[in-house]
Amino acid sequence: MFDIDQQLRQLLQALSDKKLISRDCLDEIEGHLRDEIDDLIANGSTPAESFAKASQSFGRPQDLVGEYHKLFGRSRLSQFLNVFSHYFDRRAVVKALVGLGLGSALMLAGLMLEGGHLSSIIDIAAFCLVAGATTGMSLLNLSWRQIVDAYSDALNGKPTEAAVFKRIGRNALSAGLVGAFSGIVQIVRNLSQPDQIGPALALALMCLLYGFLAYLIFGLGFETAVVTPNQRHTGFVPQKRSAFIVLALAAALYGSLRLGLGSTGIAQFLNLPAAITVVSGVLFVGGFARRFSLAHLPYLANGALSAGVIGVIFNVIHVMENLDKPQFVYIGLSVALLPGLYAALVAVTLRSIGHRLQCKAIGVNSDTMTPVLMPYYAAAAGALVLSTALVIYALSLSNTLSA
Amino acid sequence: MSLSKDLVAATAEPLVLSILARSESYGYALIKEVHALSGGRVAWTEGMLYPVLHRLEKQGFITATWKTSDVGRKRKYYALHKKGRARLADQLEEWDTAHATLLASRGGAHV
Repeated sequence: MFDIDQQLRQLLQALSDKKLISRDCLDEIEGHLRDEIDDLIANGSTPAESFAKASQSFGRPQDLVGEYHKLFGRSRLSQFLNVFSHYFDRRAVVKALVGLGLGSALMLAGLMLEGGHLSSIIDIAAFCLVAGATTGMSLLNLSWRQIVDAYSDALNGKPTEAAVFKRIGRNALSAGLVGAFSGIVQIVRNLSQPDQIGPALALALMCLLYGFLAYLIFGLGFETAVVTPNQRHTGFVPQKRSAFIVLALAAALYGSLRLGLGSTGIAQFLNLPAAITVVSGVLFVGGFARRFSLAHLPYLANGALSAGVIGVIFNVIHVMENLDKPQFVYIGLSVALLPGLYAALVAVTLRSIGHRLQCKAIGVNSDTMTPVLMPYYAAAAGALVLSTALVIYALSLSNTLSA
Repeated sequence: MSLSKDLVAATAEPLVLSILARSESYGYALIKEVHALSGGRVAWTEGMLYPVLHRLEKQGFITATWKTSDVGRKRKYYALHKKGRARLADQLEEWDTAHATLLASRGGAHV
């Protein structure tokens, strides 16, 4: 039986062997030939006849290559630049790089303002663990070709399914968690040797940090790049009351922690590095958006949340580096939660506004839509448990200190 | 009577710009439209059209956007840029001049 797909692959292979034709151009020609073959079949030709007619009207591959030679020159450099410019939409690449650059600068500024330093977030072992585990897990689910094509399409502005980026983002988060758990296992095994606990804890935190960073860039960022303006987000949509109750609880816990430490007033809730870190997450993701629309708001919210988690990890690392100064530790631990609190506030607000405006735009009553809440409530519950543990720990430290 | 290869190449740019001035389109649709407009006398090939489209895109006369068609196929749609509209006006003027000169040389009205 005549296999059109195979015949088309052979024809396009003849072109791609000439190197001068980019994949972008080959995709365009393939779409053209398929349209033509479909039309011919619809008009009564057999698949074999249709393919023969379509490839005849296509002309000789060397003629097309000759035209490109005339157009873009014969030098290797001009060929490379042509192929490169067809693989990537330069404006999209520049915008994403600006977002990443600004986001990284702000994130580092947040770290520095909090008193940390660059060397405390560089860990080759954690990097290798997260990069290796993410790549390994991704290659179990996807082929190289799928991965390269998806990223290239996203950078080139082609409509692409976000599934590849979702999977890689989840794999990066899982790799971070695997690293964190392996660090915790080391801690538990070496409880009798306190000098072993520090490095194991550092490994656990750094793996988590790199996992979230990889998710932010290679998962969420690229998901944002392929969002279409009319896309409806099916994820978590906070209902005002419940979302703000969770936030108020977190704020009350934080307030009680600071109160226990002797601070009062609104100033205890203000923290510039935490705010900068959360904004950096929005910039990281926002840079990838092609034409900004309401559909991008949930992704920006997720960017803020991820940056909030990264900010909390930054702060905890910073505290761990100063364990010999108890006065610093309990203040540091209380401040450590602020990026998370800010991020939750920004995320809930962005999602609420985005959801309502989008429902208004498509003429749907926003109250009739069922939000998917479970994973987010689980995360909020986890954060509350962690906050409570930190409150108790910090208060006990404070008591020890005053005693 | 069909056009010579040289004339097909020479008319490709103004024709592409002129069709895109009406609405955005993609390669295969452009070839079909030119075929229909010329009553079947002008038959473009992909080998001729795509280098022209990519050159016009590189020169900034047209812009390209990938979209998904109704049948789920990815297609690159081209649209006329502001710069391309000015280019089309220049080219139409050139073709009018060439056409009028040709008519005049055959004893018709002068340019």
